[in-house]
Amino acid sequence: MIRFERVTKRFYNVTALRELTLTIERGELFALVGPNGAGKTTAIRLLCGVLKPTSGRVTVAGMDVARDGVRVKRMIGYLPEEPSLYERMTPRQLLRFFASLYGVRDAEGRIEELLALVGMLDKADVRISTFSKGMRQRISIARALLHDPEILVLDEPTMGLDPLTAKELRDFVSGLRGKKTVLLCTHYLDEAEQLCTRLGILHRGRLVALGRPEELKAELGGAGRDSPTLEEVFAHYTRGSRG
Amino acid sequence: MSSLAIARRELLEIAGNRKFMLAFGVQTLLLLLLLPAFGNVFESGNLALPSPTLQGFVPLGVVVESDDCDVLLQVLEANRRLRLYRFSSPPVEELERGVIAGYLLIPESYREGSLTQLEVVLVLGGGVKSSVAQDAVEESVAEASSRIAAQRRRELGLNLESAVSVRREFLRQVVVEGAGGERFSSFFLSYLVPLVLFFPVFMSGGVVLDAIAGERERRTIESLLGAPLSRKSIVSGKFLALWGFVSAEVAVWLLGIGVMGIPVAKPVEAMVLLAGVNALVIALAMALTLYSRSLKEANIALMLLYVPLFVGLIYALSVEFFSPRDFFSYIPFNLISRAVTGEGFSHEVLLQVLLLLGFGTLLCIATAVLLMERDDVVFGSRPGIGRLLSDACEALLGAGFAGGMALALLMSPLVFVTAVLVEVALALLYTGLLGYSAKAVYLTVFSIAVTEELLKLLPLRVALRKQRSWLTARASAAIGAASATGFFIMETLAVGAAVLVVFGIPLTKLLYARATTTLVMHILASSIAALGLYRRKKLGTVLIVLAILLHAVFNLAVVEVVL
Ligand SMILES: Nc1ncnc2c1ncn2[C@@H]1O[C@H](COP(=O)(O)OP(=O)(O)OP(=O)(O)O)[C@@H](O)[C@H]1O
Ligand SMILES: [Mg+2]
Repeated sequence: MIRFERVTKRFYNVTALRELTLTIERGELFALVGPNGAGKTTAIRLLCGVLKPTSGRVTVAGMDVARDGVRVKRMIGYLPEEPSLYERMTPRQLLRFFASLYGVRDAEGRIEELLALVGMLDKADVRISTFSKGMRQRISIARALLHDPEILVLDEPTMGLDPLTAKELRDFVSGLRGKKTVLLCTHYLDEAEQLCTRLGILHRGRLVALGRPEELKAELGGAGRDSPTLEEVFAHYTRGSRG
Repeated sequence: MSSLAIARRELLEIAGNRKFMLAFGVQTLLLLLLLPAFGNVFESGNLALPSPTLQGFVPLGVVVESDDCDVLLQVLEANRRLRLYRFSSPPVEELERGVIAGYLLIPESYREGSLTQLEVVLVLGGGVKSSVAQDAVEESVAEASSRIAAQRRRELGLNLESAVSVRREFLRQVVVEGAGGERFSSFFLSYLVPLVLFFPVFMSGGVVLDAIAGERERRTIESLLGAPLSRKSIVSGKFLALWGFVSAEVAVWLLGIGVMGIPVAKPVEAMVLLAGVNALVIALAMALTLYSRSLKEANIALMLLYVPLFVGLIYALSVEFFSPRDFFSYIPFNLISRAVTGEGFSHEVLLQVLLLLGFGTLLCIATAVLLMERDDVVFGSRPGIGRLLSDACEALLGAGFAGGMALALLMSPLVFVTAVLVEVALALLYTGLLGYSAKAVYLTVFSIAVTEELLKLLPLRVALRKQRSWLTARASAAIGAASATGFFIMETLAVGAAVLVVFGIPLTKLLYARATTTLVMHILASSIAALGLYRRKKLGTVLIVLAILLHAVFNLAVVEVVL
């Protein structure tokens, strides 16, 4: 469903991503982890057509993101790392605008449905500028789900959410397994372990480990020792400096 | 379709922004209050405002039919406010075109030596300066009159209070009657009203900043880029909204002016032209804002755009006001002034100006789209101008042979300007060292050949450095020829402008003469030199020297012919 083919992204003198090659199958729930500055957000942005690769290519369902960007983007629901909302609009206005961009049919009904899902119906007509971080995150989630995309791309989705809301979101994502393709990037390893079918560890722009969480643990564990935790696996692969 | 969605949201954003709406309201209110106030001050042509001490402020035609009018002519020439132009017959056409503010006819019957009451005729154009012209002429005539009277007193003992009188005639009305019977001076109409109509576009900085830099600063750009629309439609959507908003503002102001009974001669034309100007300014502001690193930098960039524009507006209006020339009618500011007064307005000129404005707007929007397509512009670590240009070269050369030819043509302004600077510097150096001698002239001519032949190779050098497979010997020669053609075009335009201004010889004549000689030389020399650069080694050097010699011989031949 999603393929990264030797994708490199350079920003002037920083190489954020080096020759990333990765395939994510339909219905998979894939988690990308790595230290700060590892290149997770860059990889996600490349997939969503927000950035363009310096070399290599990203394809979705066989379509090149660089060439068929508009068609690819219709299939993707993107939750950016930082809320990317128009502060002067109300949630309803904002969702209406994006509904028109995505060509959502029966927009009003769908907006109502999603606002209920994220528990923001009572704030539907209040300006976003008055919202807390968690409330903004909820609106962002509603925006990402608006056009019922086949692929969900979530950049640190539970950041800034209270424990209960975070759990609700995890349960929601977990319920998508098998129905949608999900690429999730997170700093919470237990979250990654609990949700994902496969896991990739990025370090300094390189994919240093890839596999199911149990596999990664087993690989590192070897014979006779206690199975290591995912945290130990992470530490092993990202040894040395951070960032 | 998606650009319309963007435009709609942008307009909603502006309408929902209390700051902008308040500013808009206050501006409109001020306008509605101030215009009538000014209108009263400048009403009925009592125009004392333009500084009367300005030298040669009023161009005045003089038609002398009398052969005994020395005193009057002397006095007129001494009047520092007037600039005199002699004509043999009444210059009605010049007056209509606004080249002169009026003309003074000194009839055959006017003889300072006679004892009769003398009369001259002053024909005024009714333009903005006619009242000043009238003032100045009456002042001079009064002085001449008293001198002549004194002379008569001395010679004949006669006591005539005033010997000369002025009869006034108007070609057109000085004062324009408004709808409600109100009267407006043409100064008010041709100067202040256009100034006011340009206000919205000078106030557009805030909305442009908010729409472009604000989007980036608040990171909302990310969700737009993630949405299924091209970056081009983001730019064009925003442009449509900003342009629509500012132009609507202008329309409201024009309407307000109309409601106040101020007569605008060609409101539709004025609106169309203002919309064209708004388009260019907004597109330019958008590109500048996109390229700026931060809101603060964008603010400075926009100030650097708007302040010169504003100064230019006042300057253009004033200069034309002081000394009208045909050339000024192409400046949009002045064209607006003509549309408001209806004086000397031409649809042909309007069309040409609109085409130019449209072309400029497209260029700016294309630049904005190219900038928007770059990740480093949108997400930071902004590239310098050099990097942008180098990337543009790369992109052009990547497009193959045609791109290489385009690069050669596009680089020609740079090549030409550099060549001129180097040549002028060298010429100054030689004449400084050797004095103005034949040696200095020959040396200069030779240096010109060397400078131009080497500089014209610049595009090919760039192309060769990026090494493309399609760059064969033949392609190299063709790029050399393209560079030569571009250089020739620049040179002809520069020489043509100079010749047109100094001698009044039209460009087409010059073009024909040069196309059959200079162009051939340029292309020949540059193709040879290009081959040389491509070959390198010994043969290459020989070819380049050959090209320089060819150029030098040609230049010498021209010098011989001219001198
Ligand atoms: N616009 C940019 N200009 C220059 N460098 C950038 C830009 N965006 C990202 N980088 C660099 O690319 C590298 C990867 O950044 P990225 O945001 O992908 O990391 P990340 O894994 O998402 O980190 P975090 O966990 O902190 O979110 C970093 O070194 C960062 O400094
Ligand atoms: Mg990140």
